[in-house]
Amino acid sequence: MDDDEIVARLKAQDERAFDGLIDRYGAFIRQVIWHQVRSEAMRAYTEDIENRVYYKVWANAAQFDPARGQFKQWLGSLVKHQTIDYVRGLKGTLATLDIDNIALAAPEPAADVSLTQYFAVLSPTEKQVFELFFADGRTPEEISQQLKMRVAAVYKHLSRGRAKIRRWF
Amino acid sequence: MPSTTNPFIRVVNGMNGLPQRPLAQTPMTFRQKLYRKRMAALTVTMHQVLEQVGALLEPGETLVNMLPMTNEANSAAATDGLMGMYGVKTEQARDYVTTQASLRGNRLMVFTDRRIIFFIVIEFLDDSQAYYSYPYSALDWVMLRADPAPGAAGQAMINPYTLDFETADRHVFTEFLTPENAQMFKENLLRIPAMANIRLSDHVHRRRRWDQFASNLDFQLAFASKGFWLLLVFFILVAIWGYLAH
Repeated sequence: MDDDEIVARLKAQDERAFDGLIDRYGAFIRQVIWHQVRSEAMRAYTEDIENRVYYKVWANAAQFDPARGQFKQWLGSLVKHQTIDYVRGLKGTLATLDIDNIALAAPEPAADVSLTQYFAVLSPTEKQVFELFFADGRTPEEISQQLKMRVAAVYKHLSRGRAKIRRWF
Repeated sequence: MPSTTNPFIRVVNGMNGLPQRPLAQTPMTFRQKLYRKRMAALTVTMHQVLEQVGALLEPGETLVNMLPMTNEANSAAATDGLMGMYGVKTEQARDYVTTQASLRGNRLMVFTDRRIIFFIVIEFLDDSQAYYSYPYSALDWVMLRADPAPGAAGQAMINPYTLDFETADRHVFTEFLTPENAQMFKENLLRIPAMANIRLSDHVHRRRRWDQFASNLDFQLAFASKGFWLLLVFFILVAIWGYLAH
């Protein structure tokens, strides 16, 4: 599939355009992204950046004018700017998907997503239960065995603790 | 664990802002390109889905995150329907079926700051009213229980979780969650203020005693597994008694 056919299919909103786009430019798109994104930590978001790029190409194909340059240059520019936006922390996932009135409370790429900030208001026992349940992913049965309490007591601590957190935050 | 052919979980996890495993620097193989194409097409579909979800939100209501479920990772019990068939109605749903080779398997639990919105993707694409809405205020109890299941030889035990709740107007929701799904649900219990009053339990809660049996998939599955053996023992005893009597 050559560039003209890819563009024609994109403008016709034909998903078969992705066949040609990825075959012809999949590696190029990833190269451009990785040129902007150097760290291993940020490269873990490559798939999401690529998904957003493919959507932008799909949604903005009508804006491509062959009289103003080649498709590859237009594509490269789109990928570069999309990646830069992402790295700048504008990725807010859904907030930048051109959909109005939707906001997603997604963390910044390098933000600390620790849950322990919520545990400061808890009693020592509640904090133990919360850390094992929410941070370590243990089951209530495992927690009850480790802390030598009944399973019902574990659930009670979880309920009371969450009510405390709600009052404080 | 996400499927190597169904990209739904990876696409939605990307939208949630979750990092994925690092990609290799080698050129994409044929299968990887095929998977990439499905991801790209699914991303386009998910934009349509999210536009429809956006239209459902009330003034001031915000989306928090989305919990993806598939037949491969979760369960087909709740969604495959009669012989797994579904007749698509719209062009976009037809494109989805063709590209993703998936009918009812992909489903989404959307968490807003006020409620859970749940739907099967293909049905929701066809009909924007084909969804279930569970306000947090209507949920008293939620069962989120880990049921250890043996893994493959040499692997650690896997813990599929069972999620079950009944709303104030007696709608029952039951689903099997992966450990990743369960962790997201737990984090939402902490992060979403409106979920703070929902009590957690390791068993099913129903408002009517009859529903404890009739609308309780957890009980029915337990009965089917233990009850089967009881019935088997019963019939063996009857057979032995019949043999001895003659």
